[in-house]
Amino acid sequence: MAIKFPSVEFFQELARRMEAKSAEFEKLGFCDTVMGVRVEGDTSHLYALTFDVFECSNVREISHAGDVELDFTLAAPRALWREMFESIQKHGQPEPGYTLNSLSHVGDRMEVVYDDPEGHDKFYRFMATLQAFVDLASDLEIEWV
Amino acid sequence: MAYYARDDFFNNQELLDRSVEILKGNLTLDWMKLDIERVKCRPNDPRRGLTFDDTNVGSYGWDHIPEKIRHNYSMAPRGAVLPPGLPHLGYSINRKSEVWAENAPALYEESKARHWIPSREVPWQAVEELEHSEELERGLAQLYTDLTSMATALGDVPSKWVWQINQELIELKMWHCAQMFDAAQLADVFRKRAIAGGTGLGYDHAPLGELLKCVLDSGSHPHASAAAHILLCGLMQALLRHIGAVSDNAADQTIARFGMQDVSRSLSYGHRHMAYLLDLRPHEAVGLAEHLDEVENALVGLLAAPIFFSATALVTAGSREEASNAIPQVVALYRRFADEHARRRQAAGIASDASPLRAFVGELGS
Amino acid sequence: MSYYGSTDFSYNSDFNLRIRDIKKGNLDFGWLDNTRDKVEIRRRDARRGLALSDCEVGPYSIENSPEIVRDNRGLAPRGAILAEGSDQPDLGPTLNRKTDVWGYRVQSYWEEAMSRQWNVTTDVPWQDMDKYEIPDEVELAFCQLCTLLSEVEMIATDLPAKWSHHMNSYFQEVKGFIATQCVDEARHAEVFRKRALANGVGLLRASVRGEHALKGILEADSYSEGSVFLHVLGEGFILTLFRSSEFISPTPVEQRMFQLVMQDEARHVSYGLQHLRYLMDNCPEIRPQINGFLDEAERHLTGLFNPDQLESMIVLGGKGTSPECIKRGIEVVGAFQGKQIQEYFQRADRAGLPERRDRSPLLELQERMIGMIQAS
Repeated sequence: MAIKFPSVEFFQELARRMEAKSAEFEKLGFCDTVMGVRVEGDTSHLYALTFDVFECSNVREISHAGDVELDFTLAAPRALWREMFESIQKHGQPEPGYTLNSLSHVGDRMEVVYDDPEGHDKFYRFMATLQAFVDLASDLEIEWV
Repeated sequence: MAYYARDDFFNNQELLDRSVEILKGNLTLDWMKLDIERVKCRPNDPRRGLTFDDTNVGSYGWDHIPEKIRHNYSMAPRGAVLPPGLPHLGYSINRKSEVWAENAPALYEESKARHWIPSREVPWQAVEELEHSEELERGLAQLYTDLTSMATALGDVPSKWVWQINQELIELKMWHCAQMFDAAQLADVFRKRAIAGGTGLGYDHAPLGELLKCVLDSGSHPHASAAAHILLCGLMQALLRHIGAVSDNAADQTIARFGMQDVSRSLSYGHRHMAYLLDLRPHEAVGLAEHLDEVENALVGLLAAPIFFSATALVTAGSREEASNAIPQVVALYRRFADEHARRRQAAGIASDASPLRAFVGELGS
Repeated sequence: MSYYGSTDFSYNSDFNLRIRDIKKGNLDFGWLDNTRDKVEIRRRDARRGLALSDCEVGPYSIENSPEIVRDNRGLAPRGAILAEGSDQPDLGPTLNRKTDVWGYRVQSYWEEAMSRQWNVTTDVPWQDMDKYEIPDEVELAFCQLCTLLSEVEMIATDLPAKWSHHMNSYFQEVKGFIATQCVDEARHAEVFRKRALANGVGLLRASVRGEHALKGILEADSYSEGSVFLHVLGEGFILTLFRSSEFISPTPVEQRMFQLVMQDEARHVSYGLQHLRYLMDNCPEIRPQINGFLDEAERHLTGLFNPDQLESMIVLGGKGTSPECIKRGIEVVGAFQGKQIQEYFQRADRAGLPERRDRSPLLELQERMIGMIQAS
């Protein structure tokens, strides 16, 4: 059954898959951060994803960034998120221009929003885990809304 | 600031002009035309991945490192093109035999491949549910306290020397970094274990401090290597084997098993380092043997120290009341360690007829 | 030999008496009677195992350790019962103030580092290299970049190693963390070296100016100065360079390399930032000294941006040497250089050095270069 993007259920499914592949994520190490995902469009959505040790333990939709203490937020138009996930689905992993790092680095197509540079640096400290997390969508049936 | 470069890059107009030209699109690409040795190193055994052995080729390999390094005192990687004007980084160890062992690159690979995580791979639940007596726990905590200090010394030795070693000896430097890491991991697990048992850390006592000071203050890298890697690691290995053998729970057995692995790698390095050094400079053997005798003198001070001996006896017997009956077993442990140590010295080429350890064990067993 | 133990046991009557006592079965258990309060330690989170923070109780806690450690001159772990007075041999630690080395959250950085180790030999998909065709000029550019990175990474092992053995053993978490840094950085030098040798080219030209910057780091007068140069300034800049390098990587193999090294580098930057913060919070009188040091360190740092590196990044960014490729590459490189400087100032702000933004010569240099490009 297709899962809508963006939605809480979408990220919850990734979290469930993360738990199912616990050995893979344990090898990557602890990941302790609260990441924001902002999907911008006619109606924007902001999700707070709590990573705790080896799991994504909580997924919530929030109204404002201030509602939860986010270490950093990845913000991009809905179309760009779609391009990224489609790249992952096409190749099993993103093409070089569609990694989280690439998208957020040159050209700032995806913006990294943060207040605290330490929170910002967590994006890089846990990069391999976060990339592996979004790569879990490679064979997910997605309904783009 | 201790170092001021001759060139103030901010005001180097030539450099600024060149950078501006590049950013305008006028690249020279002269680095593309350098005459270099081209190589294509791939894994010989895909199961092992791309090891250092696979990259030991031509001018990039360690086989070509000269005994006396005269051509490079910078951090330029071995085999790179060295432009004129590279600064001297102050390395004081520029002789291969002073530090090298043929197994160092493989030990570095092994250390990474056998990485373990004290916080998660020790079954700490077993410590939370210990059923043995408080006095036995105090004995164990005392030995773990001693082991923590020993592990700290084991990390301080490479820390003291590695930054002074010429960059051409890169795999060896990496191995020393792995040793620092292994030692920090051991200090972490030993200290956690002592605290987690509930009775907490034991005593820091002078005989142990004397031994560790003798090791750390060794006057040269080979002397430090003999003291730390042959003697201290040998002692730690013996102690860990003993704890593993007499322990009544899975946590201590796991710590002993992992700890043994880590210190045994350093033992192997120490042995092969001596062999490499003495093959090229056999006259060093006399000084090294004398040094090791002196460190052994401090070692017997520890082995006979009231706290160390009685804690070992207590842990062996399982109770204070029975500890005296375990003295023969402790003496047997010391004798086995002394025999192994003597054989290591023999194999490394630094045997001694005046070994204080041998004399001590002989006296104890007589 | 620099130190001879205080007793020659071959000729010591007390020692002989002790051996006789042992042989008679007389063991001294005085230490066992002198007991201390018990502690109860439990894992707060079984998934993390037994973390350092779980052991932060009573005499074992850093909170209960004085700012200046005077009583421990040996290698005792924090919380051990110390031999009285002069009985403890002096092993000569010189970094004995917490502010010399400590950083907020260092214990969690230690656990994170232990948990996020990886292995160059097996975690980079070397076996996939044959799947991709890389043009020779791009491969050459990548090898020039690898040469620089292999050259600079070992400074981040040598500098911590130089100071670690001077640190008081009560600061075990810091000694441990920088030991993880040493092996992380060894791994980085390893991955760039192996990659340069893996695909038909090899190592290219070392950097004279870069080496002067490395010498500036290694010869810092104090650990804190070395740390702020290495962790906050140097590794902060290199972290941004890694991000760019992931972006311009020729294939997924190199991309994977940079994802992995980036994580380690960010951890080191975080420790450096938290050490600087701790220092500024607890030892504010050192501010002028750190600022004076950074004035020069920032000048040194520009030595890392040598023409060979700049050109190779441009070739990688544009994926070739045609005029169109060079143009694209310049755009890519220009974008990340601005980011390096801005992120450094943000970290300095956070650490309590907001004055760097006004005081630093970096912005002036950037403006001068932009002016020169526009004028021409």
